[in-house]
Amino acid sequence: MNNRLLEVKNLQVSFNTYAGTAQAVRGVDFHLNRGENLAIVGESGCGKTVTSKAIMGLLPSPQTIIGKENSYINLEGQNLLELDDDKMAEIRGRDISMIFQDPMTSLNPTMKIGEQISESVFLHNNISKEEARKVALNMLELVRIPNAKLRMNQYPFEFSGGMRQRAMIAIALACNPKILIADEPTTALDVTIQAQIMDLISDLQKELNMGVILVTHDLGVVASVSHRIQVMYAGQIVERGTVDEIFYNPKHPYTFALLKSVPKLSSNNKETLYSLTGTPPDLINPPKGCPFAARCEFGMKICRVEEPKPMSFGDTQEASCWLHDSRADITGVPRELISRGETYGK
Amino acid sequence: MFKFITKRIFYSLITLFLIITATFFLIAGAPGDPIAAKVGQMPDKAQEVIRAKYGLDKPVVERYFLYMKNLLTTGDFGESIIYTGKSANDVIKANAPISAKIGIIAVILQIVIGISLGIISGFNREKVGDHIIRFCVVLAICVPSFVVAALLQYFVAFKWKLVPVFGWGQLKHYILPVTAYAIGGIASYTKFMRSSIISVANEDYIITAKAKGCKKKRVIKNHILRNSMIPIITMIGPAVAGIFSGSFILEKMFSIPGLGNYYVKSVSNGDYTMIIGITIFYAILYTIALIVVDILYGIVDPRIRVTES
Amino acid sequence: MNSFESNLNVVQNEKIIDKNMFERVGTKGLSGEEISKPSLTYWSDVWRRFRSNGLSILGLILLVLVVATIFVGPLISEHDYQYINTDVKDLKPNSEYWFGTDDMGRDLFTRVCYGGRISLLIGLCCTLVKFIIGSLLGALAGLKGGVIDNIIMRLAEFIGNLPYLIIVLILSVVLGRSIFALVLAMSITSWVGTTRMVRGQILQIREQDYVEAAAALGSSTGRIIMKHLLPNTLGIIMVEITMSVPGFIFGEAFLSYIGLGVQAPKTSWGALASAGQEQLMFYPHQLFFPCLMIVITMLAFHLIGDGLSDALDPKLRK
Repeated sequence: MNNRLLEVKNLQVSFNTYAGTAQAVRGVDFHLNRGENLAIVGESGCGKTVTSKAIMGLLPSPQTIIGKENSYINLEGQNLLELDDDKMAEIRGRDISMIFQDPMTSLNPTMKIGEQISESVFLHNNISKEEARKVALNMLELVRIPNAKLRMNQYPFEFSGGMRQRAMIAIALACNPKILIADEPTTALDVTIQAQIMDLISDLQKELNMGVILVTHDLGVVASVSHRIQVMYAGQIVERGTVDEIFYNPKHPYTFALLKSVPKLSSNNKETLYSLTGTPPDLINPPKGCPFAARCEFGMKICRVEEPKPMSFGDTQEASCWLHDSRADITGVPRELISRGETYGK
Repeated sequence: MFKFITKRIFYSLITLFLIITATFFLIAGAPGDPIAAKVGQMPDKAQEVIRAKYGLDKPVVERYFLYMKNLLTTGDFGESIIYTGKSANDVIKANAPISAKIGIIAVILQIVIGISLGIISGFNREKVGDHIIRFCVVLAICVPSFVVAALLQYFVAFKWKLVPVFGWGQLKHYILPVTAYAIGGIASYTKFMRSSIISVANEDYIITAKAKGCKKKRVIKNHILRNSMIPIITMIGPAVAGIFSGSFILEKMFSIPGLGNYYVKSVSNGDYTMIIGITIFYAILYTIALIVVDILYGIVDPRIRVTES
Repeated sequence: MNSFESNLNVVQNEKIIDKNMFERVGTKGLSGEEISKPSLTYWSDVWRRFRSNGLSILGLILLVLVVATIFVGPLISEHDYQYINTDVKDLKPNSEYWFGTDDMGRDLFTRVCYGGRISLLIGLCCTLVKFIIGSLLGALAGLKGGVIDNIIMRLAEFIGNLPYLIIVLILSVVLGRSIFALVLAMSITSWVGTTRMVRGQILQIREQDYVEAAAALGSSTGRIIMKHLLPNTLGIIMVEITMSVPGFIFGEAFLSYIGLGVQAPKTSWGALASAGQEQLMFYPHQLFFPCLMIVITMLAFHLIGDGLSDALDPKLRK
């Protein structure tokens, strides 16, 4: 049985701006399996959201250019890049759904919640509005909204932030999609609500056997729910691996820096929390060489000239960094960063 | 909802009462003798009789209470001091329908054409049609209605003789004044509707609708249009309320025997009872129109409906 | 194929790279921040967008032309705007009388220039009054809150519910027909929108984290207003001002047109248009020129205002 749900190959997205063309996503490859939870992690502006919107076909059309040569987004063998608007609309909501960062603005303010959920059901299934409403009611119960019957007839402004995000999840899952893309689903919520929403997504994923792409800047969120992580920087994937590999054995200095900046309860209190200085590079004129060179404390001359190629560390882990070249100067580089797998599993 | 409406009406009544009071004291209490022009040549005795007839021998406060009593009990707006025997009620009854006809036709045209053009323009942003519409809108907003009216009179009526220059009574007399009246409003609605559509189209919930699988048509119909129409209603309020006052100049220019024309005449004649009467009539209409619009707004926007009740 | 070692060597050896290239240099000479796009301050960014909009520049040029004409014009034309010469009445535009003459033989060009000064003056004065009253009341309501806020907003609501045109008519009947009275009548009830806007801005900005931070750092209210509120509100106020001036010019024209505005011997564009209207069938130029000036001025202000609000709108900022 083919386990591949989605395969993205050489995805390239650029935007026209007044200053020139910004290359937001520069040749991204990845895949998603059935029932798998894949996290895309990185700072804001690194291309995570653009990647996910490109999969959904939701990027604004005149300003956006999506490279089509040697590129594809395959959903069970169908290339989404070749579909027209109407065909793509049929895929959206039925096969791939998406939830967004800010539940406060993501719901239509003048439409009842029930209507917003049943619209999606009604669109993709050949059923009556009545039946669609029944499905919507079930969905509200599924995302654990109490008093679902009453809530059906309420408007978004009568819902709290967490409730709205639950309603968004209900809308997204109403047609039982194969893939759910969650774009920073908890960033705008209170910390206590964050955990509830993450648990809900993870539970529903198992229940419905969906593939989930979780886009976030917060590695802490990812640890408990994801299977694999890929780290994006400046429109490229710089490292990917299983959760354990990324957390215990990062291979890219950027991943390393992200991990160091996650606060830990166990760490010594006197330690100041690490913070990565600087900002991601300008994508209108991307720098030559490794995009992270300007912020990398282990940067070498080569990093500024030549782009590092992805290098495998076992079946699942891959990173693009010159430090792993045999000639690299590794004095002072933390052991965990350059060790080649031997610490893994210990 | 019921509580919201009652509260709204209650506030409006207070506003209306304040307007009537303020108008009365401002006009009736203004320095100068309102009746001097009429009675200047008469013997003193005759002057006194006429003054007494209009209550001008009494202090302003007493006149105010008398006026309010008449207004509330019999709906009497007062009698002209220039044309003896002519009451404001007669004038309103005879002239208001004419103004109303022009105003209502023009406002309907404004709303229908303005919103349609706004929709066309908003959904074809930066395309040829949008550019043409926007150019015309800027032009129309910048040309005062009396200039439009003058141009229409000169070219359409005088030079090309397609319709009569002045006059009233037949359908062809409506064309120029209604056009001149409507053009500015059409432009404003178009502009407003366009920007409303553009801002709603950029909202996050439109992306949600697309992510759900709504096709373009459905996104426009079910999500963008409804939400972008809501702010337009706030504009319709004053427009409807202004139906009577909107055509002051136009009625004068086209010699239309409307209430606006009569009102302007009263203002320049200093016919103060008539000014008070018609002003109060306008204020009542205006207030009613605003209430209706508020209620409409409450019906369309659930956020107001639920939180207020 | 899964051996780490072999992989490493295969992948990186495609090109022969000098060993020196692997010398550690850290982030020396490079700064993550410097590479970011050239930073523009808010106002230079606004100016860049305003400038790139051809229509707003056209508006600016038109406005400069109008102002230059009405101030310099009479000096060149060498006619007096009040001089009556019945020998030359109702002339068509010619080389002596550029815009022709009116029914009393006065030079229309000079009259349009003088009328323009009055019209512009009234437009500017009304706008000034509107914004002074509006900003003061709005700031008071927004900063003080409580009872004062309540009173001001109730008053604003009351005035906002009055039919504006009729109020102006009544006031101009009551106040008489001087220019001062005209300005007062038009601006006294016009401040409501400005008050609401300024109050709204203050309330909104006061809640922003950076203002709270400034307050927490011990900035005085005055400093917060100068440093944070003013720059943020200035943009919207500028748009409102450019949109207000033509509104008042139009209002003046309207009042003058029905005989309640500027009185003879003074004149204004509205008064000139009103006089021209009576001669429309036979001497259309007497209506045409004052109207043309009104239209050009309104157009100029609108183009500038539109350009400004586009330039200030962060949604269009990319």
